[in-house]
Amino acid sequence: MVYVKEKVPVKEGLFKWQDEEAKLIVAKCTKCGEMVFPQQSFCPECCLETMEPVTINSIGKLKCFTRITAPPPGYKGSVPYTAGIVEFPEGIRILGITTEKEVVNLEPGMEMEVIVDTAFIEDEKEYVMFKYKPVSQGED
Amino acid sequence: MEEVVIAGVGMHEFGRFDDKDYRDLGFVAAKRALEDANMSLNEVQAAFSANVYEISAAGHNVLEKLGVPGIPIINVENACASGASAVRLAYQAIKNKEYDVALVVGFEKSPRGFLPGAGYDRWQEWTGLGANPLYFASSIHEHMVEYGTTREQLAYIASKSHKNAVHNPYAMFRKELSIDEVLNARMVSDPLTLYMLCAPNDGAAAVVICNKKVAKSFTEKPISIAASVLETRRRGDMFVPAVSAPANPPYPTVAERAAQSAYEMASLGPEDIDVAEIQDVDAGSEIIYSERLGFCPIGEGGARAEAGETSIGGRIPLNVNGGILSRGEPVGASSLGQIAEITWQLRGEAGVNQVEGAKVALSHSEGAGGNSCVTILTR
Repeated sequence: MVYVKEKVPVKEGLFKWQDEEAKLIVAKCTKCGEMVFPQQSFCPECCLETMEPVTINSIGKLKCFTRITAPPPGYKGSVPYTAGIVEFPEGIRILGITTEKEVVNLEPGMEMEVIVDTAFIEDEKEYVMFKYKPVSQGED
Repeated sequence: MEEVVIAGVGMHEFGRFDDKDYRDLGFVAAKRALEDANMSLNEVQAAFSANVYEISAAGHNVLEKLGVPGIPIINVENACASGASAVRLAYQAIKNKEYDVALVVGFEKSPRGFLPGAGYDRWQEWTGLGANPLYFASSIHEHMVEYGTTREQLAYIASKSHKNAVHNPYAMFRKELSIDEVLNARMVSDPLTLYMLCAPNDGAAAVVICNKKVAKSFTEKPISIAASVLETRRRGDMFVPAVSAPANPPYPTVAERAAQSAYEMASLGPEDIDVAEIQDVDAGSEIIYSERLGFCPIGEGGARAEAGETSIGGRIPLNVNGGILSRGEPVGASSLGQIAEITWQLRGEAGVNQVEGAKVALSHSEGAGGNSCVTILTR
């Protein structure tokens, strides 16, 4: 049993998760409406400091995905894992890890829900990360 | 504005050379390019080096063994497009009469395995999002979903590449592979198997670039640079290491923009290209870029390849010497290798893989940071 003193996000400002529904935080331009994830203060289109953080819908559509079998440089989790691009109704596509280890559990176009889950445990800290979970799963 | 030509090219073989360091590789390529141009470093007025993984002044260290003439040497790092970006600097300087002769040399000793340092933030690396093949695989998977591109078409591309490389002395992989062998190889990043992805490796390539008027006194076979373009991504290109993109960007992709600029600069169109080396970092990329560079309609790249249109003897032969899939990718040298290969094609010196009567050729390199370079050569 691994002893965990605290839970921390892999990076601050990526998602809401403590005591509330998991949601991704994007930056939205107050001038042109452009959105970017992770959030940043300058708009990629206007090149001005016009962005403010907003949360987006926690459910989006899976556009495409892949399965990685060998650990990439710096990776602290286990293999295999799957990752994919989810398109959210606000009009932004975001790359993320899914909860599934096999591509047979994934279908293009399926609805995916943003959840926050363990990424890895290190130095008695549990690092948490957003993941995409198929919506049909866990409702039975 | 001066007309700019390639007066000489040279390569060191691409592969794994454990007993050589980057200086040895770069030296051989630069020496061969200078010999090809009938020059010594004394005729060169400026040098541009292309490399990604060495630390500092690497170009200076490579050229030292060829002479120390005190010329300006600029080290360029622009990921997979480093070499073509360096060519662009030399091209612009000569076009604007700053110099008459410049040497561009690219060289690399690539780390083994997935390439590190593509610009990922540490949280991306920790969580598994810092993997280049993930981007390549996602892109082609979406293409499969949207246009019906098949795994067999991906395997066809890899098999074509390996068949083409059999006669290329500079390629790392020179053994033919059947479509079944490609499909049944280890799955690295679904749908891409081991043979559908390029291997980062070691190698070097060099190009001597000249004012056309000056080139006459050195070479009888100058090849003109009709266009040399570098563009970087806009938000719509979710390229390494970007995590998000707008769903429906109202502008073209970076490859389309770079190609469009290059075609305009050269007053040519995709239909004028006789042979092209394009960024087949994976089999899916060859399909996607064959469309974005204008060689076939969007969505048809896989089917057109399978019908033989991009094979030698086809309508628009792509990566006829094996491309990056078979040469491997010594990152800093890769696009200079493309330019050397198409220079030989235009001179009619490409041997078994010669595209008969080739007059116009294109090189395309694209990589981390969202760099996209398109170079068009004519004879």
